[in-house]
Amino acid sequence: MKGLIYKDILLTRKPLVMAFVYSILAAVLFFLVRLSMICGNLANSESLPSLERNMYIFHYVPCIIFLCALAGNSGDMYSDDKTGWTKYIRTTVITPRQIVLSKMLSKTIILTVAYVLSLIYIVILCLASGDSLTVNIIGNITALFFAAIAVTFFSVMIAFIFRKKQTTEIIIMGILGGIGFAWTVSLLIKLDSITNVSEDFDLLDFFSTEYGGIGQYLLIITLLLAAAATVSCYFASVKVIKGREL
Amino acid sequence: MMDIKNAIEIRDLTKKYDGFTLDNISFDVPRGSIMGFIGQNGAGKTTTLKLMLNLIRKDSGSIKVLGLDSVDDERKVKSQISAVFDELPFHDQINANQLSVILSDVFDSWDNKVYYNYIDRFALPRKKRFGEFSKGMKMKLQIAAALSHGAKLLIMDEATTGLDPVVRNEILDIFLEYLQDEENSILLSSHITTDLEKIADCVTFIDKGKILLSGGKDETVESHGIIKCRKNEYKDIDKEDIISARLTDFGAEVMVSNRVKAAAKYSGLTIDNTTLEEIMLFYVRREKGEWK
Repeated sequence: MKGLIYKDILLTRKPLVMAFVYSILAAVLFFLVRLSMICGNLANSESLPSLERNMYIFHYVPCIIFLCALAGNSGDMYSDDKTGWTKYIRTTVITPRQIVLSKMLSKTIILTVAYVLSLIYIVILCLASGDSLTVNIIGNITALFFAAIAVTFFSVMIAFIFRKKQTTEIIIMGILGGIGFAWTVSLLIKLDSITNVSEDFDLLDFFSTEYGGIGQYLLIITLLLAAAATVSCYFASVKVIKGREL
Repeated sequence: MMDIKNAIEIRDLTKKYDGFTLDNISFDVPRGSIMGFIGQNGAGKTTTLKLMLNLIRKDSGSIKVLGLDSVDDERKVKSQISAVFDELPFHDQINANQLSVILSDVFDSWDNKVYYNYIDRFALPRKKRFGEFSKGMKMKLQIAAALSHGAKLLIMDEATTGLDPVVRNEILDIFLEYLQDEENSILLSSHITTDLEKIADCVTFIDKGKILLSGGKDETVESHGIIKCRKNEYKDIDKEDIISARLTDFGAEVMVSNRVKAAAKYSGLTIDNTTLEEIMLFYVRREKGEWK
C-alpha cells in the first residue's frame, strides 16, 4: 500500500504546492497593502498608530488546509479513472479495502503537511506583525484540520460513487467545499468575537467555558464529524469499489 | 500448477447487458501457448477479458485461470497474471523510476532487475514523464511492467492496435521470447489478424457475444477455404456448406469450413487458401449469407 500512497502524494504535490504559493502570495500582498496604509498614517499623523492585529489574515491563512484538501483530492480521482489506473490496479492483488485505505491515508498525509505548514505560516505571520501567538488560533486551525479531513474523506467516497459522472461529482464537491469553507469562516469569526483571549492563555483554557463555550462545542462537533466521515466513508467506498464494474 | 493443461478454461460464461449478451461461451487457452482472441469491435472480447479479470460480475458460468477459480481465488489468480491494455494505465506525470517504486509495492514478486533490463532493452528513458512518451514507448513500458513480476499468464486487450509495424514486430518477438518458458501463456485479444497469423498457436473467434470458432490456428486456416466460381456454379453449391459468399460482378467467392470435403464434393471448382482475416470477414457476414 506504500506504493499507492507514494503515487497519490506524487500526483498531488503540485496542486498542494500551488495552493500554498498562491495563498502566501495573496497574504504577502495583503500585508503590503496594510503596511502602506500604516506608513501613510505615520506620515500624516504625529502619534504612532497601534499595529492592531487584523484577524482576517489569520482567518485566511488556515483556509489553505481547505484549499489543499480540495486541490489534492479532485485531480487524482479523475486521473485514476481517466488513465485506466483504477482498472489496472483491480487486475492486481490489491484489494478494494487497500485502495480506499491508501486514498484516505494519502489524503491524511497531505492534510497533515498542510496543517503543519499552516502552523509555521501563522507563527511567521505573528512574529512579523509583532503579535503573540494565541491558543485560539491554533485551536481554530486544529478544528479546520479535522473539518478538512471530514470534507476530504466524504469527497473520496463521493468521487468513488460518482466518478463516471464527473459533473455531478464536481458540483457535489463544490457544494461540500463551499459549505465547509463558509462554516469555517463563520466559526472563526464567532470564536474571535466571543472569546477574549489574553496573552497568558493556556492551551487547556481553550476547552474552558470561561473563554466561550461555543468554541469548544464546535471543535467537538468537528471532531465527531471527522470521525463519522472517516468510518462511513471507508465502508461506503469499499462497498462501491467491490460492486463497481470497470 | 504443474499439472494444469489449460491456462484458461471458460465454460458456459454468460453476461447480459442492455443491448448485448455474452452468450454462454466456452473455450480453453492451452498452457504454454499464445491464443488469439479475434472479433470485430463490440463482439465481446473486452467483456470476456474483464470477466476473466473479475472486473465485472458474470451472470453464470465458470472461469478457471491457471487452475483456480477467477472469483473464489481472485488474489491467487491475480498474483500470477498480468493485464496489458491498449492505453497506458499509468499517470502521465510519473516516470519509469517512480513506477518501479509504486509497482514494487503492489506486486510481492516484483523484480527491479528484470524491469530495468526491459527498460534499457526498449531504450525507454528512466526519468522522462510518461506523458511525453510515444504510443510505442507506452506499450513497451506496459509490457516491461507486465513481465517484471513473474506472471504466468499475460492477458492483453488490443495491445498491438495503433502501433507501427516496427514496434509491433518488436513486441511480438518479446511475446515469443516469453513463451520460451513453457509454463507461460498469452491471451491476445485483437482485431488485427496479421499479428495473430504470425505468432498465435490457436485462435478463438467471437462475434455478437458468441464463439464461432476455437482451435489451433493452423488447423483453422487449413480447414477453411474459398471457392472461387461463376454465378451459375455458385447456385449449385449446397447452402449447408457455405459460411457466407461474397458476390462480385464476375462470380462469387464462397467460404467453406471443410476444405477437404468441399474439394471432393465440388471437384470442378478451385478452392483457394484463406487467411484469418478472410475467415473473420466471412463469418461476421454469415447471417446475411450473401454480400458484396
